[in-house]
Amino acid sequence: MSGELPMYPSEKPEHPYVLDSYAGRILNTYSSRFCAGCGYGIIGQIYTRVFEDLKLDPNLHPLVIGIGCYSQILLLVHADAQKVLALHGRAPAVATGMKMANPNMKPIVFSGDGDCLGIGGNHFIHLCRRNLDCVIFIFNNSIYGMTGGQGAPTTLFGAKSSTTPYTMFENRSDGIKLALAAGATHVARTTVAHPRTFMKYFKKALKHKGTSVIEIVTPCVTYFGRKNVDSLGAEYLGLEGKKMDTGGKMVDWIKRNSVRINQAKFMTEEELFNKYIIGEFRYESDKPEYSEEYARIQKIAMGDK
Amino acid sequence: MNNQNGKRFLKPGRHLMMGNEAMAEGAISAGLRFFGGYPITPSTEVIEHLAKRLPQVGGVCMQMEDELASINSVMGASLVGAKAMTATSGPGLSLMVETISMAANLEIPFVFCDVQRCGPGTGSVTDPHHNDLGLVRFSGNGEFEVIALAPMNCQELFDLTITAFNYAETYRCPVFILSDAYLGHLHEVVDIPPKEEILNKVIKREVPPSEEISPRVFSYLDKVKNEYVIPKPPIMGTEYVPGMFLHTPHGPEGILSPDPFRFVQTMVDKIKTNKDKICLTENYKLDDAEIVIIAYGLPVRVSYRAIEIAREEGIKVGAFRLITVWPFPDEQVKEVVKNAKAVIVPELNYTGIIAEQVERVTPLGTPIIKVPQVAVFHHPDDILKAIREVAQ
Amino acid sequence: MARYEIRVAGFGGQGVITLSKMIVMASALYENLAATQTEAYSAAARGGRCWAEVVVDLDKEMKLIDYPKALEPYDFLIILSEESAKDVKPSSLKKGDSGFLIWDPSTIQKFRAAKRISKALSIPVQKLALEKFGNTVYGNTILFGAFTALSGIFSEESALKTIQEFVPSATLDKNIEAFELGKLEAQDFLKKLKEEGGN
Repeated sequence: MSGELPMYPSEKPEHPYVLDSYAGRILNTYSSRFCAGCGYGIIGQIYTRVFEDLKLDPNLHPLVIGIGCYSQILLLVHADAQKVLALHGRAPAVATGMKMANPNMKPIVFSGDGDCLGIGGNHFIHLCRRNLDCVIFIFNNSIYGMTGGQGAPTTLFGAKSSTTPYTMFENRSDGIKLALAAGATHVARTTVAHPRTFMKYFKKALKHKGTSVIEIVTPCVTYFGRKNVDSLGAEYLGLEGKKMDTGGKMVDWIKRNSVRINQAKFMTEEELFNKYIIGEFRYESDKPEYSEEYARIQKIAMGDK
Repeated sequence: MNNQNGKRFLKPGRHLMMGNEAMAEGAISAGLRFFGGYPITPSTEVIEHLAKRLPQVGGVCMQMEDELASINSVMGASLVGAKAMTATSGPGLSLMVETISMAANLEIPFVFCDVQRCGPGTGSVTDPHHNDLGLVRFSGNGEFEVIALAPMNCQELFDLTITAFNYAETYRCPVFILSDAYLGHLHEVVDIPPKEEILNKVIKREVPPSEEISPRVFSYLDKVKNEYVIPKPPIMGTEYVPGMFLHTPHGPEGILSPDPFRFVQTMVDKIKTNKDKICLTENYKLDDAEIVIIAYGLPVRVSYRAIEIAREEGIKVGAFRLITVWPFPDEQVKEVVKNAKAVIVPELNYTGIIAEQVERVTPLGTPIIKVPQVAVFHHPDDILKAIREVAQ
Repeated sequence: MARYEIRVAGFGGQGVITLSKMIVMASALYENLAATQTEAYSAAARGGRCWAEVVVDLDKEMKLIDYPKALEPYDFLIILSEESAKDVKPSSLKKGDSGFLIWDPSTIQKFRAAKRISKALSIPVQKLALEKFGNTVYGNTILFGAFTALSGIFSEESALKTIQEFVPSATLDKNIEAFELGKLEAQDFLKKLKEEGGN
């Protein structure tokens, strides 16, 4: 990211959430640095929108961002938000430190599929296990975008990437199942094709006391779509797919390839293979939260003083 | 333990403490609020002691899932304004260097206790070995300077931990305390100073008054005075923050800098130009010494014993002690070795990491005798032998 | 500078480390002497050759013990296991006023070197503790009593304060009894030494 930002000399757009963004307000660029068809623009805008709608206190909602393509979202999120770019995979640990050192805070963690389920898998598990009060987003584009399209733990079976040129043969990692098993108390998955649901989950997560894990399925046209066909996830139909080389095609595919949680109950394993199950998987508001529990321990340690 | 009272400051006076506990108590006195650690022999007593003590004083002690998480949680805590620390040993340090390098970049202050053990690899877990210094001074990718302090007894483990926190606040770089397996488990008396005395010394973490807040929250070169300005560490959750904490080459405002050269220069030179304030040293019977022993940490004590015996034999020998091991005090050492007949460097490692530095500043022709030792620390006779040899 | 070097060696669990901690506490905290204590750590402290060393500087002016390990020859040796007894030679102990050895015949079958050490006191600590107080843990306090009387590096008052610090208050009386027992043994031994010296 060294060097100068590409300056698009476009005229000032009227869109309020663009004007509020870091790029818009501080850098005056009114544009993202994402590829055409990328879903991260939607996510950045939704964050800014929720930030404005709920009038979030930037002092209490630090944004901890991992490393991946999505790190650039920091240009699109609200200019007031306090942002820190953590190391690859370590964002949950940084958020833990923040929350525990200042329990009034509710950190919001941005992490990708490689970040959260690959290199930082351990931190993610233990964040969920502790039920630490924070929101963690997993942006799942089933590819390593920043480094140029390598296979991720979430890459679908049979998909091509630059490190799986003969198609992916490993089992897929499911962030939601992992979060459920680890003990996160608010777990949901949605896609960028369902922005309103995403906003709903985000707002709910901000009110929730405990770990909220929200996975967002998002398209990567440049490295995933162009190499793969839209029959992924519908292998049981035996159709020949078409290349997904535009954002529209990928969003269409994501829509088609996601199954609502209630619907999924009636589907066979074969039908669900390579599909994304979306919806709210768990919401438990009465589970003990880590920083509150620690405050209780502190009281015990302090005795009656 | 008898030496706890549930308060931040222990009762002034003499306390019998284990080295690791003394270090932990020093940290609490310095205002430690967050400790993230992972148990590893021989540093375990630090986390054990803090797990008991920190909640008593309203702090947080967390046992994280691994070393990577420990150091990152420490960084997170430091970002939101808590004085934070971690403690580990060699293998743990190897895991943590990634984040140390990042913390150096973002100038996030924290203190790092390294209770060194015998390596390489898993090595021998309960034996002292000063083999981490090489890793400490280049701890991570990229170029930056760190500060490393080497205490030699429990009293100093307490005092220097407070100094380490002050250095971290002032110079905004990773500060290491180099203890070792032997020192960490040594029981000695620590003389705790009165509360006021400690509080006078301690530099607080706080947001500067609003009229002093400038957008320049990272170090930069003041071109008029030609010296480096190191602002107070920014605190997330207050108004005193940069636009973003971006771990790319950044300017004083935190936004990415078009000039990585100047950025790296700042990271290195902000410490180097302040060497005279950072480097603590101690002279021992050096006034008439012909033979000079240069040492740090535990071997210093062994040297003192050897000097005692050698002086009885009429050999004029003295010791120069590095309390700050890194940055290496070139100028002072140069002065000390200038007229020496010979220099002896007893080090608790084989390669002689500091001996190399001494070689760099010693005039050609002055013999430098390394006295290496691994896993057990020197017997006074080891050093005496070297002294007698060069005295002849 | 007057270093007083003490080494305690035995099985892990016999109280080797506790005894050394009691010695260092009595001399460092209650007599204000410079003192250090080091011990076998972790796995080494369980079974086998467990050891602990204490160095006390009898010179009140000294603030720091330079070399923190006990140097041979020792001023005081307490040997509680067969295995650690093998390391002891008559030359391991200082000549002159100090140079005491206490060993436990109830855990050591053979201790050849002890015969050639003039100031060797054998107390069947474990046996005595079990018989008189019903638990071997009191062996520690017996030894501590003997150490206090023989070495004389700290006062009895400091020793009693240390015991109060270390033992649960419910067993304090029994421990003081054990301490007195050890002290008596040592005093008898000193008397005997004096008589022998007189002859």
